[in-house]
This record gives sequence, C-alpha cells and structure tokens, in this order.
Amino acid sequence: MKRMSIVEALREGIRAEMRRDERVFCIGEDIAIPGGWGGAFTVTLGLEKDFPDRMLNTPIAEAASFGVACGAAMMGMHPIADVQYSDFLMCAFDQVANNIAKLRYMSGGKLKMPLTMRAPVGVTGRGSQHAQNMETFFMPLPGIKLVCPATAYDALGLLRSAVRCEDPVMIFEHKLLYGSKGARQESGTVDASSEIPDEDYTVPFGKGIVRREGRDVTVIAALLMMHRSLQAAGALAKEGISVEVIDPRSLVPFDWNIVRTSLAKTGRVVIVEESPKRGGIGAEMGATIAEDMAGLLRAPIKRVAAPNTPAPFSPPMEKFYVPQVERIIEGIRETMKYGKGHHG
Amino acid sequence: MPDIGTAVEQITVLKWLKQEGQPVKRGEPLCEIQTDKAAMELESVAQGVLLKQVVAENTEVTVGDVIAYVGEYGESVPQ
Amino acid sequence: MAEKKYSNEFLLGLYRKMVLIRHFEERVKFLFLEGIMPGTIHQCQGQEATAVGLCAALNDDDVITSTHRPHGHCIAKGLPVNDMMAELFGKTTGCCKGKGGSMHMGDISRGIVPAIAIVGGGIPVATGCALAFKMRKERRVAVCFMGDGATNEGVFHESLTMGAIWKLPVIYAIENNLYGASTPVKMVNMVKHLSEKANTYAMPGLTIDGNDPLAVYEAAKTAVGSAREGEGPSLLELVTYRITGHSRRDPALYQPAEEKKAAKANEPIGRFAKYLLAEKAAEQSELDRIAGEVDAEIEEAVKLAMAAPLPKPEDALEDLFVEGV
Repeated sequence: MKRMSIVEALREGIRAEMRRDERVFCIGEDIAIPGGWGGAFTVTLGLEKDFPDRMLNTPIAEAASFGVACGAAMMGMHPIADVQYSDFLMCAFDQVANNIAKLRYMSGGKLKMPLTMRAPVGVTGRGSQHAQNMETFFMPLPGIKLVCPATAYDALGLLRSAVRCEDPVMIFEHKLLYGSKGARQESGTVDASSEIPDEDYTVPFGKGIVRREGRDVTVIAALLMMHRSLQAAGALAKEGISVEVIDPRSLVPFDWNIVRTSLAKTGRVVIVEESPKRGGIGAEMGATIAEDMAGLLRAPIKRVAAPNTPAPFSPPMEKFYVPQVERIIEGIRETMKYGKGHHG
Repeated sequence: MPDIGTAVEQITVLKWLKQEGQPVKRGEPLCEIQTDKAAMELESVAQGVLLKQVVAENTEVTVGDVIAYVGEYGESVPQ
Repeated sequence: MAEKKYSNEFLLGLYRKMVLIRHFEERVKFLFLEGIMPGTIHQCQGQEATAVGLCAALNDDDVITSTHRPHGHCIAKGLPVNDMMAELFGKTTGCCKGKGGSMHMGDISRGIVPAIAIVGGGIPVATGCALAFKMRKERRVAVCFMGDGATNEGVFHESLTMGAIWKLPVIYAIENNLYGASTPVKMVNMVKHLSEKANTYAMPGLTIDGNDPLAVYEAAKTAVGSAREGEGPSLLELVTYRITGHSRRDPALYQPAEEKKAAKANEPIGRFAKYLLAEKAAEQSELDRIAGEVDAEIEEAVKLAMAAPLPKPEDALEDLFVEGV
C-alpha cells in the first residue's frame, strides 16, 4: 500500500502499462521533453527516460494527434493520446466524433479502436478557453466510453481498464484534483489522494460508488463536484440532514442501478456539475431519472450547475460560476422542502 | 423518368430515338429530353427490347413517371 | 529484341482492374437511376488509373485510407465487387454489414480502412497506421488517397508535418481532378502544382499524369520503396479528371463543355487500350473478352446482392463496442 496523488497514480499507472504491453505508447504535446514538464500537469514527467521510443512529443496539432492515434489503434497499438486542456479537444473534434467514435460501427464491427484519450477539465482562473468541462460534449457521442475519476484509486483503476480494453475511452481528469507539486501546483487543489494497493487492480466501467451513505437525499456528482458535495454533506449532517453522495466514476456507460437503489431510499435527487446547466450531463441524468424512476421521486429533480455563460476570469465571478459548497447546500435544502421524512 | 439531378422535376420527352421492338442496351440513348437547363439525350437504364413507348413525343412528364417499358421480346406490358 | 519492361500479364491486370472499376461505376449509376439502390454515391469514372497504378505497387498487408469517393480505391486494393455491391444495397453480406454504405466502403482485413468521408479526415489516420508499422518495425506502408480539396484542410498540414518529422512510411496521394466539389482548384490554391506543397515538409513531391497507370505505378514504386526503407513520406500529385458528376445528382454544369470533351478524349482506359494494342501486349479480341468477363462478374454481384438479406432493424444496435453496449 502506498499513498499517492492522482498525478502520481496516473504516472505510475502509465509507466506500468507501458512496461507490461509494448503496444502502449503516449502521444501529446510537451509530454516527454527532456528537462520539460511531463505534460501541462506533470502526469508523464520523466517517462521518456524509461521509454525513449514510446513517448511521442507532437507539434501543436491536436487534430492530427488524435487522428494518428486513431490510425495506430486500428493497426493494433494501444495509444494514450492527451490534450493539455480539455478545451483543445475542440481542435481534435472531427477526428474524435467522426473517426474514433464511428469507425468500428461503420465497419460493421470488423475493426477495433483500442485508444485511450485523456484531458484535464475544470475552471482554474485561466480564462474561459482553458476552463471547459468537456463531458457534456462526449456524452452524446455513441462509440466512446467516458470516465471521470475523482480519486487516485479510481484514476489508476480506470486508466488500467481504459488502456487494456479494446474500445475508445475518454478519461477526464480534474486540474484541482491532480495534486501536482512544485511549479505546476494549482491553487485551490483538493486532496484526492488514496491508498493504492500494491497488487494489480482495475475499476470496471459502468460502476458508480457511494462515497457517503445517507437517507434523505441523493447527490450525484463527479470529479471536483463530488468532493464539494461531500463537504456539503458533512455540513448538513450537523443539521440532521442525511445526504447520500454517489460518485458515478463512469458517465458512459452509466450506473443507473446505483442511482435507482439510492432513490428508492431517499426519493430526492440533486445533480451537481461544473458545466453550464443547459444540455449538461445533469440534463441526461435528470431526463433518465424522470423517465425511468419517476415513481421513486417525492421531490422535483434539482440540478446545481454553472450558469449558461463561458467561464469568467475574475475570482468573485468564478466563485459565482462554479458551484461552491454553499450553492450545493442550497440545492439540497430546496429538495428537502418536499416530502416528509424518508423512505427507508 | 429517372431523377437525373435537375432542379425542376418537369421534363419534356421531345423525340424517341428508339422505336418499339428495337433492342436497347443500358446506357444507349433512348429519347431526347428537354429539362429546365438544356436539351439532352436520356440514356436507357434498362436493357432489352423497347416494348412500349408510354408517352408521345413532346409530352411533359414528372420525375418518377413511367415513360417506357423495356423487357424481353414477347413480354406483355400493362395497357 | 529489347526486353519488355512489363509482362503482358501485369499490363492486362492493370487494364482489367480499370475496366472493372469503370463498369462497376456505370452499373451502379444505372441501378441508382432505376431507383432501386438506396443512399447516395460519389463515383470515379475517369479516375481509374490513379487507384490502379498506385495499388499495383502495394502488398496485401499495406493499408490505404480513402475518401467519400472510394469505389475505385477499394476495387484496386482488392475488395471483391460482391462485397461492395451488397454494401451499396445495404445488405448484411456487405463489406460493412450494411452499416457503412458507399462512403464508408472498406475492409480492414484487406488493408482498406473504411472510407472516411470528411474531407481530409483520413490524412492523420493513414499517418497513424504508418506510425504503428514503424513502431513495430514492420515493412508495411500506408497510402492516403485524398482529393485536391483536402490539401487545404488544416489537418493536411498537421499530418504531413508529423509524417515528415517522424519519417513515417506513408504516401500522401492527391488525386487532383481539378475540382473540389464544384470549386476549381486554381481558385483556391496559389501554387502552380499541388506537389509544391511538399516543400513545406521537406518531403519529395511529384506531379504525375494520373491518367497513365504506368506513370502512376512507377512513381508509386519509388515512393513506396523509399518508405519501406525508412526514408519517410512522399507527396504524389496525380492529375486526372472526373468524367461524371460530384455525386449522383450532379449534372456538373461548372465543368466547361470544352474541358469535359477534352477530358473524355484523354480518359485512362481508352488511352491504355491504345497503348496495349500498339505494344502488341493484347489484341482487341482479348480486350473485348476482358470487358465481357468483367460485365459477367458485375452482373453476378448484382444478382447476389439483390438476393441477399436486409439487416433486421435492431441490428442497428450492434457492433458499437468490443465489450458492453
């Protein structure tokens, strides 16, 4: 057992996967420049020493980067392609949406696309073009699995599942959960470190996890919002409100069973996301809950999300934009106005 | 009358280039037509014998209308 | 007597393939006009020599990427017309089980990535296939077929940069048919020859008569040879002409009549037939026999395709992931 931050877990995970399987390689900008940063958030720092031929530093060319990874994957390699900020996925989006997501299907299932993609999300005072939470743009893309690890344990487990499987997987990592050290340290970082077992383990796709058990309301939240929801739950416990926090970990496929089980208990749901509310991942979750689990609800579905604007720079506006613990608490209180007591 | 990509769907059959009873190869000019853009030859999509000219010369038809029956010698055609 | 450079077998093989492409496209054109084929088609009549000449320089395990106009590339690389005809009819026996259609024709087991219909979208993909070959130290090459229009896509620049800096075994083959959809190539390019764009990447760039299959073959052999030897990519500009519309409903009124007429006189199959007869590589009766065999092969493909089953509607839910749904 060893305690690791997300960045350490990912680094060791990528190192181990590359040792284990010659087909695995990394491709991205600034990922392995000697004397460099190991990517924008130090995830791949130093890996070029162990794998001089399998850490490909690209020109600033996201579209070709992802297209090259797509072609290499179809020929049997297992590439890990990353962008420095998830916003830059827009530059690669034709390759992602039209090739990576669709080629296996268009071939009638005759080819495989064993490609892992990684991108950092989250608002961090850099302005709105380095702030996007891109989950919303990937959820509607059939053909790509989508995961959001909020802890080091999950980051390593999901990375392994992603690299080893034969389908395209997008891993969204949060800038404030990495735990990068030194020059790349982020202000406002939340501790997402975990005890990492020595033995090889994976986290399966499509399995969420209950981070905190409760009886009064279900909160579904991923990445940074999961951590903030836990804080909100802790504060509300003092008032006798019992909050269950579900970390979905996978957005595609999504663990609807864990939500159903929880709603059967609580009858109330709050979905928290860092993206604008309109068409966000909360929209998909909310619609599915309303469609398939309406009978379990005793309060309207509540979404706590960013407003429908780009992310602003100035700190007071940023605090208004990204759901803070207080706003999550408010959202939970609103649902608590409906229905007396609890089901279970 | 096949959809040959005209903007306007009304096309005039000007003149038959094959007579009833004559063999027609796929791709051979079957008749002259007038579209909104130009006069041109219409290639036959079917192969065999021209059994019946359904429309008279200088008749306007719409894309999709039957203008001729091409089949095997001796085949009966709808009246 | 001087030794012949090419065997009759090789020459007639090229001829046969070009005739197969032309007759396939013509047959499919009429199936559409008959109204019995679903979807749309982008045909390549007039462009047969580019695909055939280039693929003649490839091995079975080399890989090609193609475009929204893929039929000629697929036939040249060895995709059976039975599989293609069935795919055009949307049948389960099609090369993509009816999931792809005309614009996604292909079969990875034959070294044909399902065609990528986004202009330029296949350029990095071919580059990536070449990357895999180089990383695994295989002597295979990737060929990227693209049109003149694709050379203006940003991803063209990005991909050729990567192909060049990493010395990947990839051949970038531009089929310049003088029009990007309806836009003349001279309207949207400053360079006289598209092959000049190779200078930006310090890679060999050649402009070739794309209607001469032997000229294409020779250029391809050189490019493929240097790629296999680890010398990196090449850019080949194959100048040709599309003697059919952009897509099935395009009367191509933007092509001046004089230009179209000249192009029809310069089309590759007629020219190659003249060459074969002049070189005494074949007699007219042999060429006619080949055409007859090709037509029979295509009719058989039509027959089989029409008799084959359509997919069940729910089949739409399959073939998304290797694992899970």
